[in-house]
Amino acid sequence: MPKQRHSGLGGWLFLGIVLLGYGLSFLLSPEATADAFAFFRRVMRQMFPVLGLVLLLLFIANLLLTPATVKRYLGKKAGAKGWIASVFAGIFSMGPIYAWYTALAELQQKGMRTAFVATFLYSRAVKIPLLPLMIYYFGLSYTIVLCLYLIVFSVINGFLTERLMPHKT
Amino acid sequence: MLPCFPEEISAGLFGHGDIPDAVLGAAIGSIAAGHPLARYLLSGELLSGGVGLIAVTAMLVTWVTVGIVQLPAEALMLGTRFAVYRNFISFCLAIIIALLTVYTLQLLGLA
Repeated sequence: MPKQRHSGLGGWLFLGIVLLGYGLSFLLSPEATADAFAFFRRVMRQMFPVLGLVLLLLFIANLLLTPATVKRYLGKKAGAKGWIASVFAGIFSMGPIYAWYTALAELQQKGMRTAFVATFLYSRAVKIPLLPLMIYYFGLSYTIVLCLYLIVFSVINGFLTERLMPHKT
Repeated sequence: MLPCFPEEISAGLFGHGDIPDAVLGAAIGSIAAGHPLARYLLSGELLSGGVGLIAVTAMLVTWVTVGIVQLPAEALMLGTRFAVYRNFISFCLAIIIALLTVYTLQLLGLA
Protein backbone atom coordinates (compact mmCIF):
# COMPACT_ATOMS: atom_id res chain seq x y z
CA MET A 1 0.00 0.00 0.00
CA PRO A 2 1.26 3.51 -0.74
CA LYS A 3 2.25 5.55 2.24
CA GLN A 4 -0.49 8.01 3.24
CA ARG A 5 0.57 11.65 2.94
CA HIS A 6 0.67 13.44 6.27
CA SER A 7 -1.77 16.35 6.13
CA GLY A 8 -0.32 18.98 8.44
CA LEU A 9 -0.91 22.69 8.73
CA GLY A 10 1.57 23.53 5.94
CA GLY A 11 -1.15 24.25 3.37
CA TRP A 12 -3.09 26.56 5.68
CA LEU A 13 0.10 28.30 6.74
CA PHE A 14 1.00 28.85 3.07
CA LEU A 15 -2.48 30.26 2.37
CA GLY A 16 -2.17 32.54 5.40
CA ILE A 17 1.22 33.87 4.24
CA VAL A 18 -0.16 34.54 0.75
CA LEU A 19 -3.19 36.40 2.17
CA LEU A 20 -0.94 38.36 4.51
CA GLY A 21 1.30 39.24 1.54
CA TYR A 22 -1.70 40.48 -0.41
CA GLY A 23 -2.88 42.51 2.59
CA LEU A 24 0.49 44.15 3.16
CA SER A 25 1.04 44.92 -0.52
CA PHE A 26 -2.45 46.43 -0.70
CA LEU A 27 -1.48 48.85 2.08
CA LEU A 28 1.75 49.77 0.28
CA SER A 29 0.52 49.84 -3.32
CA PRO A 30 -3.18 49.21 -4.06
CA GLU A 31 -2.61 49.46 -7.86
CA ALA A 32 0.15 46.84 -7.89
CA THR A 33 -1.99 44.58 -5.68
CA ALA A 34 -4.92 44.96 -8.09
CA ASP A 35 -2.60 43.98 -10.98
CA ALA A 36 -1.35 40.98 -9.02
CA PHE A 37 -4.91 39.94 -8.20
CA ALA A 38 -5.90 40.28 -11.87
CA PHE A 39 -2.95 38.04 -12.77
CA PHE A 40 -4.07 35.53 -10.12
CA ARG A 41 -7.62 35.49 -11.55
CA ARG A 42 -6.28 34.98 -15.07
CA VAL A 43 -4.12 32.04 -13.95
CA MET A 44 -7.06 30.52 -12.05
CA ARG A 45 -9.29 30.85 -15.13
CA GLN A 46 -6.65 29.03 -17.18
CA MET A 47 -6.06 26.46 -14.48
CA PHE A 48 -9.58 25.34 -13.60
CA PRO A 49 -10.38 23.53 -16.89
CA VAL A 50 -6.99 21.82 -16.79
CA LEU A 51 -7.39 21.03 -13.10
CA GLY A 52 -10.70 19.40 -13.97
CA LEU A 53 -8.94 17.27 -16.58
CA VAL A 54 -6.18 16.43 -14.12
CA LEU A 55 -8.72 15.42 -11.44
CA LEU A 56 -10.48 13.20 -13.99
CA LEU A 57 -7.16 11.63 -14.98
CA LEU A 58 -6.33 11.15 -11.30
CA PHE A 59 -9.69 9.45 -10.76
CA ILE A 60 -9.07 7.12 -13.72
CA ALA A 61 -5.48 6.56 -12.60
CA ASN A 62 -6.66 5.66 -9.10
CA LEU A 63 -9.06 3.13 -10.61
CA LEU A 64 -6.67 1.61 -13.12
CA LEU A 65 -3.14 2.28 -11.90
CA THR A 66 -1.98 0.21 -9.04
CA PRO A 67 1.31 1.03 -7.34
CA ALA A 68 2.71 -2.11 -9.00
CA THR A 69 1.81 -0.78 -12.48
CA VAL A 70 3.30 2.66 -11.79
CA LYS A 71 6.45 1.05 -10.42
CA ARG A 72 6.73 -1.14 -13.53
CA TYR A 73 6.46 1.74 -16.04
CA LEU A 74 7.73 4.73 -14.05
CA GLY A 75 9.50 3.13 -11.13
CA LYS A 76 13.15 2.34 -10.38
CA LYS A 77 13.22 -0.57 -12.80
CA ALA A 78 11.32 1.08 -15.66
CA GLY A 79 14.51 1.61 -17.67
CA ALA A 80 14.45 3.31 -21.08
CA LYS A 81 10.66 3.19 -21.43
CA GLY A 82 10.33 5.20 -18.21
CA TRP A 83 12.58 7.95 -19.57
CA ILE A 84 10.77 7.99 -22.92
CA ALA A 85 7.34 8.01 -21.24
CA SER A 86 8.24 10.91 -18.93
CA VAL A 87 9.79 12.97 -21.77
CA PHE A 88 6.75 12.55 -24.02
CA ALA A 89 4.28 13.04 -21.17
CA GLY A 90 6.00 16.35 -20.38
CA ILE A 91 5.97 17.47 -24.02
CA PHE A 92 2.28 16.70 -24.46
CA SER A 93 1.15 17.98 -21.05
CA MET A 94 -0.96 21.11 -21.27
CA GLY A 95 -2.02 23.94 -19.00
CA PRO A 96 -0.44 25.68 -16.01
CA ILE A 97 2.19 23.78 -14.09
CA TYR A 98 0.32 24.10 -10.76
CA ALA A 99 -2.24 21.56 -11.88
CA TRP A 100 0.47 19.01 -12.67
CA TYR A 101 2.21 19.21 -9.28
CA THR A 102 -0.79 17.44 -7.73
CA ALA A 103 -0.78 14.69 -10.35
CA LEU A 104 2.98 14.17 -10.04
CA ALA A 105 2.83 14.10 -6.23
CA GLU A 106 0.12 11.44 -6.49
CA LEU A 107 2.16 9.37 -8.96
CA GLN A 108 5.21 9.73 -6.73
CA GLN A 109 3.18 8.30 -3.85
CA LYS A 110 2.47 5.31 -6.09
CA GLY A 111 6.15 4.78 -6.84
CA MET A 112 7.09 7.13 -9.70
CA ARG A 113 10.83 7.68 -9.80
CA THR A 114 12.08 11.16 -8.78
CA ALA A 115 14.16 11.39 -11.97
CA PHE A 116 11.06 10.93 -14.10
CA VAL A 117 9.22 13.71 -12.23
CA ALA A 118 12.08 16.13 -12.94
CA THR A 119 12.32 14.95 -16.56
CA PHE A 120 8.58 15.50 -17.03
CA LEU A 121 8.83 19.04 -15.64
CA TYR A 122 11.82 19.91 -17.86
CA SER A 123 10.48 18.48 -21.10
CA ARG A 124 7.42 20.74 -20.72
CA ALA A 125 9.67 23.40 -22.28
CA VAL A 126 8.93 21.79 -25.65
CA LYS A 127 5.43 23.04 -26.49
CA ILE A 128 4.06 21.38 -29.61
CA PRO A 129 1.15 23.85 -30.12
CA LEU A 130 3.53 26.82 -29.89
CA LEU A 131 6.18 25.44 -32.26
CA PRO A 132 4.81 27.39 -35.28
CA LEU A 133 5.26 30.62 -33.32
CA MET A 134 8.80 29.63 -32.37
CA ILE A 135 9.60 28.84 -36.00
CA TYR A 136 8.12 32.21 -37.03
CA TYR A 137 10.35 34.14 -34.60
CA PHE A 138 13.55 32.06 -34.67
CA GLY A 139 13.47 29.86 -37.76
CA LEU A 140 13.18 26.13 -38.32
CA SER A 141 16.85 25.26 -37.72
CA TYR A 142 16.92 27.03 -34.36
CA THR A 143 13.67 25.38 -33.29
CA ILE A 144 14.88 21.88 -34.19
CA VAL A 145 18.28 22.30 -32.50
CA LEU A 146 16.79 23.83 -29.32
CA CYS A 147 14.06 21.21 -29.04
CA LEU A 148 16.55 18.37 -29.45
CA TYR A 149 18.77 19.84 -26.73
CA LEU A 150 15.74 20.33 -24.46
CA ILE A 151 14.78 16.66 -24.83
CA VAL A 152 18.33 15.43 -24.16
CA PHE A 153 18.79 17.79 -21.21
CA SER A 154 15.44 16.87 -19.70
CA VAL A 155 16.87 13.39 -19.16
CA ILE A 156 20.12 14.85 -17.76
CA ASN A 157 18.05 17.08 -15.46
CA GLY A 158 16.11 14.09 -14.17
CA PHE A 159 19.29 12.09 -13.63
CA LEU A 160 21.08 14.91 -11.77
CA THR A 161 18.08 15.84 -9.61
CA GLU A 162 17.66 12.24 -8.51
CA ARG A 163 21.38 11.90 -7.79
CA LEU A 164 21.23 14.91 -5.46
CA MET A 165 18.18 13.68 -3.58
CA PRO A 166 18.85 11.63 -0.46
CA HIS A 167 18.33 7.91 -0.99
CA LYS A 168 15.29 6.46 0.76
CA THR A 169 15.88 3.30 2.73
CA MET B 1 8.64 44.17 -14.86
CA LEU B 2 8.26 43.23 -18.51
CA PRO B 3 7.47 46.74 -19.86
CA CYS B 4 10.80 47.89 -18.40
CA PHE B 5 12.90 45.72 -20.69
CA PRO B 6 13.42 48.13 -23.59
CA GLU B 7 14.87 50.73 -21.21
CA GLU B 8 17.07 48.12 -19.57
CA ILE B 9 18.39 47.05 -22.98
CA SER B 10 19.24 50.61 -23.93
CA ALA B 11 20.96 50.96 -20.56
CA GLY B 12 23.37 48.25 -21.72
CA LEU B 13 22.29 45.44 -19.46
CA PHE B 14 23.12 42.86 -22.11
CA GLY B 15 26.10 42.57 -24.40
CA HIS B 16 28.86 41.81 -21.90
CA GLY B 17 29.88 38.41 -23.25
CA ASP B 18 28.19 35.10 -23.91
CA ILE B 19 28.17 33.70 -20.38
CA PRO B 20 27.09 36.88 -18.52
CA ASP B 21 24.35 37.37 -21.13
CA ALA B 22 23.22 33.75 -20.72
CA VAL B 23 23.15 34.07 -16.92
CA LEU B 24 21.17 37.32 -17.09
CA GLY B 25 18.75 35.92 -19.66
CA ALA B 26 18.29 32.80 -17.53
CA ALA B 27 17.69 34.95 -14.43
CA ILE B 28 15.00 36.99 -16.19
CA GLY B 29 13.29 33.84 -17.46
CA SER B 30 13.38 32.33 -13.96
CA ILE B 31 11.41 35.13 -12.36
CA ALA B 32 9.10 35.70 -15.32
CA ALA B 33 5.63 34.20 -15.05
CA GLY B 34 2.84 34.03 -17.53
CA HIS B 35 1.57 32.19 -20.55
CA PRO B 36 4.34 30.54 -22.62
CA LEU B 37 3.00 32.51 -25.58
CA ALA B 38 4.28 35.67 -23.90
CA ARG B 39 7.84 34.34 -23.85
CA TYR B 40 7.97 34.20 -27.66
CA LEU B 41 6.56 37.69 -27.99
CA LEU B 42 9.02 39.08 -25.46
CA SER B 43 11.90 37.12 -26.99
CA GLY B 44 11.09 38.50 -30.42
CA GLU B 45 11.08 42.02 -28.98
CA LEU B 46 14.40 41.44 -27.22
CA LEU B 47 15.99 40.07 -30.40
CA SER B 48 14.81 43.02 -32.45
CA GLY B 49 16.05 45.29 -29.62
CA GLY B 50 19.56 43.98 -30.16
CA VAL B 51 19.84 41.35 -27.43
CA GLY B 52 21.92 38.33 -28.43
CA LEU B 53 20.47 34.93 -29.25
CA ILE B 54 22.27 33.27 -26.31
CA ALA B 55 20.56 35.53 -23.75
CA VAL B 56 17.20 35.13 -25.44
CA THR B 57 17.56 31.34 -25.60
CA ALA B 58 18.49 31.14 -21.91
CA MET B 59 15.41 33.21 -21.08
CA LEU B 60 13.18 31.05 -23.28
CA VAL B 61 14.36 27.88 -21.54
CA THR B 62 14.19 29.09 -17.94
CA TRP B 63 10.77 30.70 -18.52
CA VAL B 64 9.28 27.20 -18.48
CA THR B 65 11.86 25.05 -16.70
CA VAL B 66 12.63 27.30 -13.71
CA GLY B 67 9.85 28.79 -11.62
CA ILE B 68 10.78 31.10 -8.77
CA VAL B 69 7.15 32.24 -8.56
CA GLN B 70 5.90 28.64 -8.51
CA LEU B 71 8.63 27.43 -6.14
CA PRO B 72 6.48 27.50 -2.95
CA ALA B 73 3.76 25.45 -4.66
CA GLU B 74 6.28 23.00 -6.10
CA ALA B 75 7.97 22.66 -2.71
CA LEU B 76 4.63 22.08 -1.01
CA MET B 77 3.57 19.33 -3.42
CA LEU B 78 6.85 17.65 -4.33
CA GLY B 79 9.13 18.54 -1.42
CA THR B 80 11.37 21.53 -0.71
CA ARG B 81 14.63 19.73 -1.41
CA PHE B 82 13.36 18.40 -4.74
CA ALA B 83 12.03 21.82 -5.81
CA VAL B 84 15.22 23.68 -4.89
CA TYR B 85 17.58 21.13 -6.47
CA ARG B 86 15.47 20.79 -9.63
CA ASN B 87 15.20 24.54 -10.16
CA PHE B 88 18.90 25.10 -9.51
CA ILE B 89 19.92 22.33 -11.94
CA SER B 90 17.41 23.60 -14.51
CA PHE B 91 18.91 27.09 -14.25
CA CYS B 92 22.45 25.80 -14.85
CA LEU B 93 21.36 23.53 -17.70
CA ALA B 94 19.50 26.40 -19.39
CA ILE B 95 22.77 28.34 -19.64
CA ILE B 96 24.51 25.30 -21.16
CA ILE B 97 21.61 24.74 -23.59
CA ALA B 98 21.68 28.39 -24.67
CA LEU B 99 25.41 28.25 -25.39
CA LEU B 100 25.21 24.85 -27.11
CA THR B 101 22.24 25.84 -29.28
CA VAL B 102 23.88 28.98 -30.63
CA TYR B 103 27.31 27.36 -31.03
CA THR B 104 25.74 24.38 -32.84
CA LEU B 105 23.91 26.70 -35.24
CA GLN B 106 27.14 28.63 -35.84
CA LEU B 107 29.02 25.38 -36.41
CA LEU B 108 26.43 24.28 -38.95
CA GLY B 109 26.53 27.69 -40.59
CA LEU B 110 22.88 28.36 -39.72
CA ALA B 111 23.29 31.37 -37.45
